[in-house]
Amino acid sequence: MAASGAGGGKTYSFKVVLLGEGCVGKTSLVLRYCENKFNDKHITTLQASFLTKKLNITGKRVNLAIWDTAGQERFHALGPIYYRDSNGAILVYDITDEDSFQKVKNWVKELRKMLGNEICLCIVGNKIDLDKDRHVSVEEAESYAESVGAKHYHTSAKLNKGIEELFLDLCKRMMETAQAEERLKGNGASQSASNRRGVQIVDDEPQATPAGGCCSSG
Amino acid sequence: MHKCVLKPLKPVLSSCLHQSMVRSGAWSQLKDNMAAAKNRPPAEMGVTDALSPDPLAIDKIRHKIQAMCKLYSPEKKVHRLLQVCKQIYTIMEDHSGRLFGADDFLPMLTYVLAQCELPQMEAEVLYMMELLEPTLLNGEGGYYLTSAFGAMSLIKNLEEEQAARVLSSQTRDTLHQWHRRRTMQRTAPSIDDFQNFLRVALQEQDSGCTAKTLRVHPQATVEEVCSLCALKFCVREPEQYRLFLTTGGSSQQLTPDSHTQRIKAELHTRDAPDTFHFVYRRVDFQDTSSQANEANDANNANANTTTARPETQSDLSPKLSLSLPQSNIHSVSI
Repeated sequence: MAASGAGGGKTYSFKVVLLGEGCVGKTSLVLRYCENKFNDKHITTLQASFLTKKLNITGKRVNLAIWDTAGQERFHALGPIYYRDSNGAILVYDITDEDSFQKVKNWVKELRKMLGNEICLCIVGNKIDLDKDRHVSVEEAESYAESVGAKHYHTSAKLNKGIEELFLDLCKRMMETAQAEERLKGNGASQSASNRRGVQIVDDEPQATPAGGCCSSG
Repeated sequence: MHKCVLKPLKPVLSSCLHQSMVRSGAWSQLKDNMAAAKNRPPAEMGVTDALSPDPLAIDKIRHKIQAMCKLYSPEKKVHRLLQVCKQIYTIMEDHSGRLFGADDFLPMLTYVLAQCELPQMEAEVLYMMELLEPTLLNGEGGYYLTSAFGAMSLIKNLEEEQAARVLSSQTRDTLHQWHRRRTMQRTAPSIDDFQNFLRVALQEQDSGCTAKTLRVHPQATVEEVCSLCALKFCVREPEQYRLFLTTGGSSQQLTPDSHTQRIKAELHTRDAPDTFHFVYRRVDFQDTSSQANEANDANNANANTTTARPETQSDLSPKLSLSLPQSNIHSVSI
């Protein structure tokens, strides 16, 4: 997460990763959301795998970077390189496909294990336009989401339903998490040095300096 | 900065990386796997309905990547990489008229990189991942760099991929260490994050702990580390000293033929990493019963030896120091 003051107001930058089996409609979902909102200033406006969106929520600017992932089983192992440093994850399943819901559960387990509770999770049942073929019950999905501290949403990329709400809600939650973290940091800033204990050590080397600290061109 | 530092450094770095890959056998393995991957049709690489580039287009992409390899600035390199990705997208889109997400793009990128057969791409990707401005890592450049890394590791682990469906432990460790070095949440990298260094603490009965960062090769045995410690810490009776690993509340002596860097890598990649320390001390060192005491000793000893702020030493009990959140402990773990 990066929050920086720019032009007086605060700008939040969040990274959101999209996970879910192939064919559940991850890409259509995010394309719907970012439709006609391609950022021309980007070096290259590439396609639908990486998208950005700028929002203004209660006077605060939010920059979203949305990372799509390949959902096929053979790419599963690459998950960690995509979700590292994410503030939020959108886990998509197809309501007509029980198996895709199972995959979401696997992702939830993995994310909680690797990233803990700091990541905001959204479980999304997509394709509600096909409700007559539904194979994952609303109750089951919602109670599962609640049990793992995630929020559940129903969307239809085809009908453009529920998508705006999903992202807005996620942004608000990520902002809350970021603010809580800041407060913690604010309180703890003066203590961070004093927290350095345990087996403490005498260093015989100069401290490593942050990479590119002095000359970063900007 | 890039010009004055990286320009002269790039050829040296590249040749070092190349030589070390050749020495370890990774280079020939990568070459073999790449050649094998080249023979696979698009469908076997996971490409489904998108049409793949023809040989002419592959040739163009190969030239672009070769040109990218010659640049020294990580930003400019990433820019070229984005152009390559764009070209792949354009070809996909021209044939279908629709937009593609990662489900289609990643397999296609893997296929194209295999067709280009440029094993040097591996070192190039690492170079960019290490040196790209951290803020750019979460942007578009970072995304496609990540995809290139993913594609290369799929090609590299081509044979195992079918069976295991997981990244090799070595790739996982490399990633883990890279993540710790390059994550946005951390400001300064710790020297311990590097694979060729090891923090070892000398624990003495009367004077507490002193730690040094030693250069320890990945293959070095505990025995070798011990003789290095004897030298660096100037102990009088080196035959009386051994290397111990302390984790949580326990401490164990390491056998002379085990490998410290492998142990470290193993500990780093655990799901819930414990704090651990490599401690060099006398075999007859009196381990005053529990961990709390040990930490207490170390803490007290510290008061004498470090320049830590006085107020931090007095008003916090050792118990509190042990209940610190993992992240805090981790940032100072040796």
